[in-house]
Amino acid sequence: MIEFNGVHKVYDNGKEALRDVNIRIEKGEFVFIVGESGAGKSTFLKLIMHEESPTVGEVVVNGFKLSKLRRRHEPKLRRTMGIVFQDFRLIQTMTVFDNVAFAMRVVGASNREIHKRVPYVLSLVGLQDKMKNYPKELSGGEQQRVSLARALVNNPSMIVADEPTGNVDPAMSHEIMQLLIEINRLGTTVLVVTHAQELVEKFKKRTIRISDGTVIADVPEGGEPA
Amino acid sequence: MRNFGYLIREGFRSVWKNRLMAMASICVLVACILITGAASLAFVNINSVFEQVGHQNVVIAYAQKDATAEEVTQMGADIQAISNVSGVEFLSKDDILERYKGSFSEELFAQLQGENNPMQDAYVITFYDLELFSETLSQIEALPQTESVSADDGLAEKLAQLRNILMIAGVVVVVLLVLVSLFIISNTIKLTVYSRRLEIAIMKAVGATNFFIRMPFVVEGAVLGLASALLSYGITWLAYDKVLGMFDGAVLGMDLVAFDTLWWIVLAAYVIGGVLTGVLGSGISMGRYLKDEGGAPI
Repeated sequence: MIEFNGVHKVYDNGKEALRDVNIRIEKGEFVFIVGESGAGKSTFLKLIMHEESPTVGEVVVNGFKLSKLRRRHEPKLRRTMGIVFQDFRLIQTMTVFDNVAFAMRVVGASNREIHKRVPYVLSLVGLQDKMKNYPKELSGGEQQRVSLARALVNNPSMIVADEPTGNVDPAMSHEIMQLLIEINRLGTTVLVVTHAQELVEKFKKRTIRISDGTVIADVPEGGEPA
Repeated sequence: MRNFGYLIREGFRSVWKNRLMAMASICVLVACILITGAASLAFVNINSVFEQVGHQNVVIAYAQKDATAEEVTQMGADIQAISNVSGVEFLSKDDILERYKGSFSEELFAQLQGENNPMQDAYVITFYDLELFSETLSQIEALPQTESVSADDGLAEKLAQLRNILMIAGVVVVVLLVLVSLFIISNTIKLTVYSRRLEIAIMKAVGATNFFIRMPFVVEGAVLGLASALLSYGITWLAYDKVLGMFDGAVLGMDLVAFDTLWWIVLAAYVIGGVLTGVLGSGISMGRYLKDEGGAPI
């Protein structure tokens, strides 16, 4: 669950990134965040991840009031969300298995848990046969699925995907979106930041449009475009 | 911590991945440890020689010629009562005369016995702290029964001064070298941190604690420190025995300290110093990185 209450964000250099943003995203929702580059999408994500703090207003994510979140409690917040990056962020010297296992290891999972969970999650994204491959041996779409598996492996209640199809060809983009929708169907909140208009139009999910720092449209699932 | 093994392995992996840089920093660290060690060992030996000289550097206080037996006894007690006096030994005038037996003809020696003995009763005195040499000496001279005191005070005080200068110089050198070592280690770790910033960003993103992120780098620092310490220990051992052999184990007739009695202190000091420097050095660069730029996964 994400809540923005009267959020303003002004950076130290004076740039006004968000203005009076009020949003509520319920647990289990699938939401597109769209807008031009520089519209404030990145700031929106940074606020959710507690990488930046709002200048005015309050952000609540998965029960954490972020204005009151201490730095040392940040890992607790981050463990409730899985993040998918546009550039995949896979470690080239590790196999697919190890890339996914890495996310479990660094939060203290045991080897037994890792060997049980990683193959399962990789089979969810259809990569059970590529566990021993290295990222450079995979296509862009496959690499993004590894990154998705890594985001899922710690069983977060929310997936945040930042331009997940930005570096993937159109056919593969479709596949990635189908996967995200399937993940959402199993109960995980999914937030997709994108400017791939055709995907937004095709999947008809709730769409929040940000322009020049303000929310200019919030179209509910299956609804008419504003 | 169930992932301790993993964290340790990661630390070693990191040393291997950056082995050239690791070797460079081990070399510098070994140099620092060796200089520190050499200074300390030299100091230990100078101190030892100094103490031996101190014990040989005795003071003899002569009693007044006409002092009664009671007065001489009293003088002994008075000297003993001075806090810096470590030992007092009575030397009667007969004993002294006996020492010079060979210098006189038998006839003369016989004449000098008893009442005619020209010698004076004396005390052979040793001190604890040679820095207070002249002070203690004047205390003895001030006793009413003392006629004169013979001592070679110049040597003793010069030795005490030399030891102090050496100690201050040693401390300054060691502090400087520790700073150099910290700088070297933290720079090496900074390179590793840089080469692994993607991993760190992912760790942050999936919610690894700072402890977990820091641990492999701390292990890396500790490994560098430990390797340097062990290498330095080996070199010190060989070099020390060699140097001792060159001096035949003694300087100015004073015994030097054998490595057998020192090895565990040297080993412990090197290992503790090396590992601490490594851990601290990596802590410095890691802490700075996590604070400045490491918090941002996007």
